[in-house]
Amino acid sequence: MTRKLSKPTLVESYDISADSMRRISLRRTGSKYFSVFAFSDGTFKLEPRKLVPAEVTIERVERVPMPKGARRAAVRLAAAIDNLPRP
Amino acid sequence: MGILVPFSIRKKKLGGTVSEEARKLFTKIKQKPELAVSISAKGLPAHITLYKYYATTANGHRRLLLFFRHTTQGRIENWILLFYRTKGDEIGDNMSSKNSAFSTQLVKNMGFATEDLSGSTIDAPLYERF
Repeated sequence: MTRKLSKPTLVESYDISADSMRRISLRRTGSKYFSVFAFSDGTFKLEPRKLVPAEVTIERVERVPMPKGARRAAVRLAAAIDNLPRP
Repeated sequence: MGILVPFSIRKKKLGGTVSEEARKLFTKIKQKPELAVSISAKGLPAHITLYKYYATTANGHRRLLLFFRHTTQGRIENWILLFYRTKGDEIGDNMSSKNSAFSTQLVKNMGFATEDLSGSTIDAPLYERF
């Protein structure tokens, strides 16, 4: 079943002017980050954006064939790690 | 989790001492290990993974290669530093088996690390832990 999203309602309306660097300030934003869409007629649309924590991103994997002798060297190193003296 | 830098790797790759820059990077890796790229290396046993870590420092880009032995519960995870290179470097530019310089050096470095870890005792470890 699909959930119907309620249509956003107008909460506040005000006039602002851009500063000398052509930047505008928003008031009372509910989000820290926004996706900005600039249209050819001068209209701007802002959408609240949530940053995804790094731990939920998909793990990056590169598939690389190993050079000759790497397997033996890796197994030896793993064994050396296992036998590390522990206090 | 601990990052171990074998003395031979420290001598050959880090100029004898672990710089402040490298120390900062190790702290970062420990805070965010998920940012490392795991290399699905064909031919390596399942309990071993190589991780590449791309880093940016004030002195330029760095490429690190870490060896990880998957541990059973209750044991400390140890990552072994094998490479610490710059981006423009012959090996750092392309850390894959297509790069013959990397392939040769990888096997050599694993050998150096094995020698250091095997020869370590509690009183005289031949590695530095971070």
